[in-house]
Amino acid sequence: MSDSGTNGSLPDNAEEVLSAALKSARNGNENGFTTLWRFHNSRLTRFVQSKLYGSAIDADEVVSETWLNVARDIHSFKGGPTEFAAWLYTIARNRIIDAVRIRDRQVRPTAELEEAFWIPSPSTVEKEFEGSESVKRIVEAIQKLPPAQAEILLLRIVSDLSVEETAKIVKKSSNSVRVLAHRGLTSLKEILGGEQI
Amino acid sequence: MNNPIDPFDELANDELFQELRAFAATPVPEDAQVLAHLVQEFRGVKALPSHRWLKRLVIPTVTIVIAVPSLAYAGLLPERVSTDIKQIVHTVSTAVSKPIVAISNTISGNSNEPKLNSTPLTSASPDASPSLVPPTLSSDENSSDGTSSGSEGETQNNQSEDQQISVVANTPANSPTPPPSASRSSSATHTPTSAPSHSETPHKVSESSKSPIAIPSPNGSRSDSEADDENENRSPAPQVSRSSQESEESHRSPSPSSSTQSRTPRPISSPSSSSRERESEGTRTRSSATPTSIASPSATQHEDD
Repeated sequence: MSDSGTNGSLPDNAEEVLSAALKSARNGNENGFTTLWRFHNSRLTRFVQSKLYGSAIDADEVVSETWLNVARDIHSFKGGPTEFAAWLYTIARNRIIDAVRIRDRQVRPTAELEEAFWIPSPSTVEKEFEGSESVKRIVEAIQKLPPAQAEILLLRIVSDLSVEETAKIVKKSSNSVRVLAHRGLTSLKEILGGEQI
Repeated sequence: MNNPIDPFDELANDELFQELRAFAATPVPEDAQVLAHLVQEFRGVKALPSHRWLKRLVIPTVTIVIAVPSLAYAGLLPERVSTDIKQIVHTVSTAVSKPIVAISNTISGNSNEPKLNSTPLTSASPDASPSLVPPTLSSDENSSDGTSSGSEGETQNNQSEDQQISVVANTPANSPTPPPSASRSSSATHTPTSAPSHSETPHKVSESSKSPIAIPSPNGSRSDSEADDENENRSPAPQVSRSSQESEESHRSPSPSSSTQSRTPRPISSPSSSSRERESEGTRTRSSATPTSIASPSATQHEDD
């Protein structure tokens, strides 16, 4: 993972570890799959949570669905760790789109219904942001950006993906990703500066 | 592609985004149950799609109701069905992340029904098991395959009805007022006129188990045949004559009529399915097979009465 795509505190040999894990997972080794899950799950969850903030969609459900897809199809996956990250986040994006579509089709339950039945609500996402108002503001500000810029910023900052990985996920060139990320950050600073964090 | 000119890092490393970066770097608590579930999926064991949703529901106990033929309640599950049920239980247990502590025989709250069915069967098993059980099991497997294709689909659909009808058969013996579910199933399957004719029909049945069959069979008038079924089950009179023979027959329903495995499944499903039975009534003598399984519980009760 080049170009600042460090994905958190990675050991130096992370690339090798992930390659080995990916290979063994493809061969049906559960440990390989578990390693991949442990490595990517936190960042993926944070990405989905940030993306679905305020959407009344259960982010954990989306993440679970994403991993279920991976678990089913990883046997036929081809590529290295970079491709895997791109594949993983592409699935997550698709699951988010599905979830939004489903939500839009559904009739919103009344408050009484939500009280009567335990309905997973945005609280499950927003709960994660409790206690950090500044993070909440940043996420809300990101959501005010044009969708492409917002998504690229989330992938680059929250998921800590490289430009190449991000480019594969959003299906744009690396240069476009850089430009959009730069514009997004500039706009974000303006928004946040205006709000005087 | 290291890009030293890329201004992203410079901008993104701004203090404004440090908290966001810190939030993103905060590890999400590892959910062992989710991971275990994913590993199951990875192994190829099908998982329910919304397992997270299920997992979050606080369910103290899980009740799985599986409609199976009456004989299954006696523990005489065909091996294949047993395997399927185990798979279902395992899947649900995994999905809700809770152990299935027991599989209840109860259906629709009629807690008496399985006992009534299972008890006589179990008790009769020492006598009947050698002759009855093997054919029943094999026939049960054949029932889905061997019987007419037209009734095949119905067989599955009617399995739940089977239980209801067996409840219908049992309920009158216990109390004059059948439960709502029973009344519903009976009303749907039988003509209302069947009720008044109880007193007469059962006598015919009591005389010979096959006689009632001859009556409905010509036109295949299903209401009558079903009425016979009900009457057999409800009327105490036939019980006396049948109690000794038919109570056994009820468990071995296939055996007296003999023979073909195609018939064996009927006793299991027969009590239930109104439509399926009626179709076959015209063609073959269901007296030996059908009523028996229904009558067995009631018969025992009547004997007690």
